[in-house]
Amino acid sequence: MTQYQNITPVPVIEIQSLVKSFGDNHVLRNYSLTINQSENIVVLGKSGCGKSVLIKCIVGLLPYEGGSLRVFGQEVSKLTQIELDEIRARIGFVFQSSALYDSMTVRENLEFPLRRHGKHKTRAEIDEMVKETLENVGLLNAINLMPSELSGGMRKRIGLARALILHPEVMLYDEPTTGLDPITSREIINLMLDVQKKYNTTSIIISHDMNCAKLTANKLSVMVDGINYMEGSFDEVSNAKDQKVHPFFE
Amino acid sequence: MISGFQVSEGSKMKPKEKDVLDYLPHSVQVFLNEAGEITRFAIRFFKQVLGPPYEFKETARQSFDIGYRSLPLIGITAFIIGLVLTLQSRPTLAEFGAESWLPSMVGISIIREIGPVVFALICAGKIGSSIGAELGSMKVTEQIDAMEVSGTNPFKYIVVTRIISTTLTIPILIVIGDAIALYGSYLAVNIRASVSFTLFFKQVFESLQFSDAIPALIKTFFFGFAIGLVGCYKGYNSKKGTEGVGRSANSAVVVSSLMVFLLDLIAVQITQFFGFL
Amino acid sequence: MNKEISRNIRLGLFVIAGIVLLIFGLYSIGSNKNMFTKSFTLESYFYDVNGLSVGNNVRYSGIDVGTVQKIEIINDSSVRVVMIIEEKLKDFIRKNSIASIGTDGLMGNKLVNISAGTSNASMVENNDRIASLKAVNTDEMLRTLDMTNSNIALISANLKDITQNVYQSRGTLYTVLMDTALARSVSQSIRNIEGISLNLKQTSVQLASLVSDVNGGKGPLGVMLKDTALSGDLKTSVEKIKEGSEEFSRITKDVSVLMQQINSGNGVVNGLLTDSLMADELKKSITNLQSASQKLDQDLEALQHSFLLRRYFRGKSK
Repeated sequence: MTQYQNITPVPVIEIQSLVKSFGDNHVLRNYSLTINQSENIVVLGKSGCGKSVLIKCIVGLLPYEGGSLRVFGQEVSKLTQIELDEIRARIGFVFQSSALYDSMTVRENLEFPLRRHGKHKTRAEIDEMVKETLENVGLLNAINLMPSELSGGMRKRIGLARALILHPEVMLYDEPTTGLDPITSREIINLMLDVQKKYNTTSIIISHDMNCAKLTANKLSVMVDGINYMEGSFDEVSNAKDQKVHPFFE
Repeated sequence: MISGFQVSEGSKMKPKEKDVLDYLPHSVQVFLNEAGEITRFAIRFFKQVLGPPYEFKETARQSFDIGYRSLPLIGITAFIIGLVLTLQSRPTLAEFGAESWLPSMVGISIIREIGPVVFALICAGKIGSSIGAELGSMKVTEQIDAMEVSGTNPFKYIVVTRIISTTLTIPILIVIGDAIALYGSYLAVNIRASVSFTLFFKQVFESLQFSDAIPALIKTFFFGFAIGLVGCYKGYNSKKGTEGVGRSANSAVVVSSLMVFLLDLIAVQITQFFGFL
Repeated sequence: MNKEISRNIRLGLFVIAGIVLLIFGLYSIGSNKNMFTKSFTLESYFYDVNGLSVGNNVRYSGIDVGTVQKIEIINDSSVRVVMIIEEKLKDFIRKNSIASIGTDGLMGNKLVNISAGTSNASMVENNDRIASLKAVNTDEMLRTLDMTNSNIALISANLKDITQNVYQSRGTLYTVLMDTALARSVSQSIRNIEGISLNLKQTSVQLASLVSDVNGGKGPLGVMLKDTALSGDLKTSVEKIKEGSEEFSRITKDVSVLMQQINSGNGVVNGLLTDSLMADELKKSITNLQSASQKLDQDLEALQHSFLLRRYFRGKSK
């Protein structure tokens, strides 16, 4: 709490009355949330309630139907492809299933965003960045392995490394600890905290893992029925007596 | 979209605004919908194939995986088809005392029809299913999303490269397959009789016309395109979950095989229309 | 990186193999259609091309030398056929060569045959027109065959009538065929012949001893030994005997063949086929036989009466 109050709040992502539906399934009805620079926000919610949809809307993977969504001050739905790619280069996205490219080695997986975001770099520079990032996640020895040879925790870390390689200003984590054993979860959480400290990133963490939320969040948002139902520090939210919020903390 | 959203909520929408299409059986609706979706997918391909960026490296990589890696399968099946076709045709021709026509008969049937269609079907089985499954799992494990986030147009990077690869390499596979099948046929002819290599191929090519070979070659490009298109479509629109992957692989094979036959039928009509016999 | 290079090399090999095979295949088809060899064109006008189509082969002396390039109707009675022929054939095809339309095998493709011209005509040049021969039309051939068939049917009906007549009328032919008496008389003749030949053998033995007697200078014959005319006479007589016996052996052979034919010729159809011949031969043989034995008799008679041997025979008869 103290951390973000010391800095003048600069809104990085502003979401207002966001509406998104899939056919008759209205996932986001009127969602509003503001994320300031260097904040770590954990979005809590039931499975399938639209948390992942929210962050996919932020990077323009999914179109939204109503409301406003501004990232770095720009309305996402009005961006051209090139502008959108520029914004995407500043955002790191850690997917729930890691989303490593099965046909590529770990090295190629990490090189992919580097090459793709059009920042022409020499072979040596790319090598250097790949190695540095892999060292950060402690998996330098896995550099030439295929994703299928990695364990779940390793995949998660490589996914994190791939999201980090461009030194993004914003990190979006989609259920980073789901499906991992407590020890590995803990490792991932520590890694996330390290990243936050090292690169001073702003993060949105989608999770329903209380442990993860407790350790990483300096702000908590509870999503219920497609709206930002409750917002506040971990202690504030966890002590709320609300019927819809309370079950998360039992 | 917002308006659609509101209309569907509206209560006035319900009474008899029935489309003509609603009277069609459900299966027909599904089929037509599928046909429309594939067509849209194809149009999207044509829109994207022309403009930059061109994914040459990925196209080469896919061509290697799709073309070169399928070569052993095509080679073995082609060899066996040539061999068996010859052995099976021999008794019938021998009844007419026309065993010397074996090379030309087998040659014409392989070059004109069996080669393109059978090898395309094998490709539909191997390549179609692998594309369907690969793209399906990429979709399910969010790899496609990850690509898009990494500043890459996934349609271009994944779909366009694969469709180009199938369109270009399946004809090559079929040409090589034809050659291997003819070699198999040559060996089969020599089980009973003794025909020199030169004579065999002379007889084969003597009976062939350009009007046999060229339409057969042209249609293989369409077969390749169809296999790539259907495989990519099925994989790219895969439903979530592992079941969705299996289903998209399966229906990729079914639909692309069907497409091969349909295209073959159309090709026959066209070649006859243009007077190739 | 190394992996990628090796992959690219393999891909390159794959693509090149495909393209090379394709080009080779198309070239092979094309070269069979004379597309890549130097060639010239000839044309010919036909009344009917019998389903010849563009791309069919052109043959000269049974060798494929070109293909049909174009077929077009000029008017209601002529079709122009343009052929591409290998350049080197210019030295063989003459201006009076004739083109005809034929078929490769019984059911094969149509083709144009160019016959060799005669040496008094000059060689053809590009775009020359050569004469054509009306093609042997399979349909026509079948029509002719059909006519032949009906003719055969007619003939066999006639034959049937004839045989029935032969059978019912019990005429000469029937007798010849069926009469066992005839066969018996033939075998009698043969027995006679046997007797004659036995006689002949005896005679010749006697003759031999006579000649040796003469050589030995014994008897009255020895006296005349120096008379050359006499000895010439003797020689001719001996030759005559020899001739007679040769003819005789031929006749016996004829008769035996004849007997075999009679024996095997018991069916109606088989009999019919051989019968006119057989009757003829039979007659002839019998006549021959008669005349031969007569001749032989005469010869022997003559020999006996020959004044040279008269005494010998006379002596012998005593």
